[in-house]
Amino acid sequence: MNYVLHKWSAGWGLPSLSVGCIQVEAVLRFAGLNVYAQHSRLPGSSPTGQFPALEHDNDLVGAPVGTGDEGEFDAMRAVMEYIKGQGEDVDGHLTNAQRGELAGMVALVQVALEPATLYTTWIEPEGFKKYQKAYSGVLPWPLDHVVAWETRRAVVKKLEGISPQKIFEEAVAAIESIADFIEGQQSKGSYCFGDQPSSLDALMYGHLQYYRMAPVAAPILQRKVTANASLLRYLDSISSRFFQEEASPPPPRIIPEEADEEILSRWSMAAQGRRSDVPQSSDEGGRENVHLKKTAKWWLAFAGIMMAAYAFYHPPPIRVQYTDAMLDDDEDDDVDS
Amino acid sequence: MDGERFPDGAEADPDAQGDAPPPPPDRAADGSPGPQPAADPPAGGGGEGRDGPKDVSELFDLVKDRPCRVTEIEGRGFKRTRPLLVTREMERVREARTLEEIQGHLAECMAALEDLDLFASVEGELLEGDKDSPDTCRLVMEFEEKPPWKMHVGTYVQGHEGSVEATVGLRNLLGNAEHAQLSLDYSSQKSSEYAFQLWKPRLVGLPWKGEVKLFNWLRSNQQYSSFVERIRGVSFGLKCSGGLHSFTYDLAWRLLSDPSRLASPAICEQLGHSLKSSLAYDFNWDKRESSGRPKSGRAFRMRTELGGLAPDSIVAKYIREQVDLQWTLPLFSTVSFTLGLSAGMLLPVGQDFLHRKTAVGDRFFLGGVGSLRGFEARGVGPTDARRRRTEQPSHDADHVGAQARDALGGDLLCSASAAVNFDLPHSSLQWLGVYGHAFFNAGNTMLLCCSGRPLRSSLQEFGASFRSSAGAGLVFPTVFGTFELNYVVPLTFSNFDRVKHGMQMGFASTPFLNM
Repeated sequence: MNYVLHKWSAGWGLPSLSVGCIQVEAVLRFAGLNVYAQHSRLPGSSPTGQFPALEHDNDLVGAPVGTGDEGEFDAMRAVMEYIKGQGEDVDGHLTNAQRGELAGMVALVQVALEPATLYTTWIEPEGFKKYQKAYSGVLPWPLDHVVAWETRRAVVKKLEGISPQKIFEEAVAAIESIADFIEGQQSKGSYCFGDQPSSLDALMYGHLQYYRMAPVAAPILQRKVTANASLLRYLDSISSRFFQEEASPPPPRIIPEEADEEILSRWSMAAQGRRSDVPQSSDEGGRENVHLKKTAKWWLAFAGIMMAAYAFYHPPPIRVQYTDAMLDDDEDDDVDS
Repeated sequence: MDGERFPDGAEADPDAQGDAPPPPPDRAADGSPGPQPAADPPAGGGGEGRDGPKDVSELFDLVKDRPCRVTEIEGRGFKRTRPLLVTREMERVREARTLEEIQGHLAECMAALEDLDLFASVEGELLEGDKDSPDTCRLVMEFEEKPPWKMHVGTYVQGHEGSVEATVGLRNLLGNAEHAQLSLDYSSQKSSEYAFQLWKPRLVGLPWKGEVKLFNWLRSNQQYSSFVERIRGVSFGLKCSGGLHSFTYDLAWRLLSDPSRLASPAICEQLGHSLKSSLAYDFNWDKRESSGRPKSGRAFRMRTELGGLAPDSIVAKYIREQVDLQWTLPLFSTVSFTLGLSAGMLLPVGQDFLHRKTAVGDRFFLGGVGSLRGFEARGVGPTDARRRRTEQPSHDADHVGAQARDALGGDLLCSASAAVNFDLPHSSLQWLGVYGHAFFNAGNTMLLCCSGRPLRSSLQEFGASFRSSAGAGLVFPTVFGTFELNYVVPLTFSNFDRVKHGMQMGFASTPFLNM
């Protein structure tokens, strides 16, 4: 079974311009799933309205309805939950103690790194100016500015009440904690919990690689990541093992119904096993059987006869009948004049 | 016109006075009393031996060619309206040189004043002018202004969708014949429209109406095509008096989304943001006796729209053309025959235009009352399979509770209708304007661009796959369109069309298209 990941297109040396998309793609690759990637640079063009979105058979998974680009991490979490629900749990090899550590680190990433990523991308003036260029060349002026500003306004509302100082300080502290954690785990394996990557690796990889590579990342975040050799080795090991090649686009869609219809239509109704031109699909209330040409012709003939009969033989709707009194009045009028 | 008076002391035409009849002899030759003397000719003279003019129209005919000009125009009753606005329209009366010309120019002035939509009533009176200039007169106009505000609330039903509309308007607040209107519309399918409109008739004294409109439309096409369209923008319009020509420029931000997450892949490709920048020209020629119940006459409407008018090359350029024609021929006093034709085409502009997709919001849709009877709204044309729900209710194993396919619309449209309309025998129905009709409809729409087929093959298939239906029913004309209650039998249709066999009712919101 194939998965189709709808994501922001690649750029700045990253698999995607969106951290949430990088994280979801990482989990899919960690799980060894067959993934196609549908790239797009048009905001809102995802089937769910935002990126990332995941298609799997008839399922379409993404952020709650009505969420815009500011909801990329909500979309990421929804997709990850879905993947886990399909039995592809990349945390399945963890012990109970490791799961406890996982929960704590995931909370750290969510509380400290997500606000910093959103802020440096959408609110920090220099970062926003650079990220807005991703819209230009895809959306016409002035739509590129209008759409970007609308998302910015939603992010500002989301981070209302938190000062930028606090956001960056907590992010820096979180990066230091993560770096210590990774250094402490290196004796057990290449990743957070041994030699098999987990969802925590996907979450951390998304943010840290973004701070390292994206020009929109705040200098303090970029410095913190690039100055730590352990972090760089960790990020490179994931990139080299799981992101060597771009995910291929999904194969061209085959439209079986229309292709079958064209072939079938060359055969007679009897050869197709159908009684009459009854529509295959129906709506609201069950199947409709329509009796075609035979009864329609008789109906038309009957309607035509009725129309002709009405036109020629119906009595006039209003009859004017002169009474003797009216005639007498007319004569009196003539005399007076 | 009320209160119009002709100049006093109009002399009878001396040529009209004939010789007085000779006095009859007192006695005839045989001695019998002669004929009684004829009655004296009436005062004012007349023709040779004729009576004088019997009414105003006869008197007017006598003096209409006499030199007469208006030297003074006086307007009364202005409360908010600036007098200059009215006197500017009345100035043409000064050009008249005879009474007949004055009458003609006054009729034109009244039509121009009616266009302004400012006055509940206008009365005029011609009074004698300066005594030293007997061929002059004064024009005195009495105006009663309409209230400065207006309000309208209404409910409508179209197919499965009901809507409530409310408009509040201000009229002539600053005295320059400007109008402002705020309209709100909300429907049961969660579509909504908010618009603020400003317009001014007789823009800078020309017979054109200028209009600016800010709008925010949310149109839910989820039921038929799985997408919701939000359009926010501004529109500028110029419309000539009489509505024959009009130009409209639209600049709008369009967003297509799919809250249901069931859209077909063809619709998913269209989701997202886009810019609509288009200039449209409308030609509207209507010589029908009545648009609601035409008994004779012809009407022709053409709309040409050029889209993608933006310096940015990213904006997709397109041309959209739609033509509608209706011809009504009276057969008998209560029966008429109506023939209607409608055609449309939407094409991208530029190289390899057939390999570029058109926007679903600009395409033509066919089906439903007023479009192609015998089919559901948007029930005819290209479709694509929707995403199927993984979880389905146990009682809905065949997905009968949900439409299986999205209507995609077409780049090419053609439809025709022939109908016999007849008055109903009951007098109360005639008084309401209700009439009956029997009709035959045919039509087709298809995609030309990115269809994967050569153009010739597409056109051949278009001609070979026309849908048709026939039926009869009742029509209720209203100011908002015609409401129809029909029994329809679809005659030919395609596998994925959504046919409506049997009773079908709905509003044809545009009477012109109600073929």
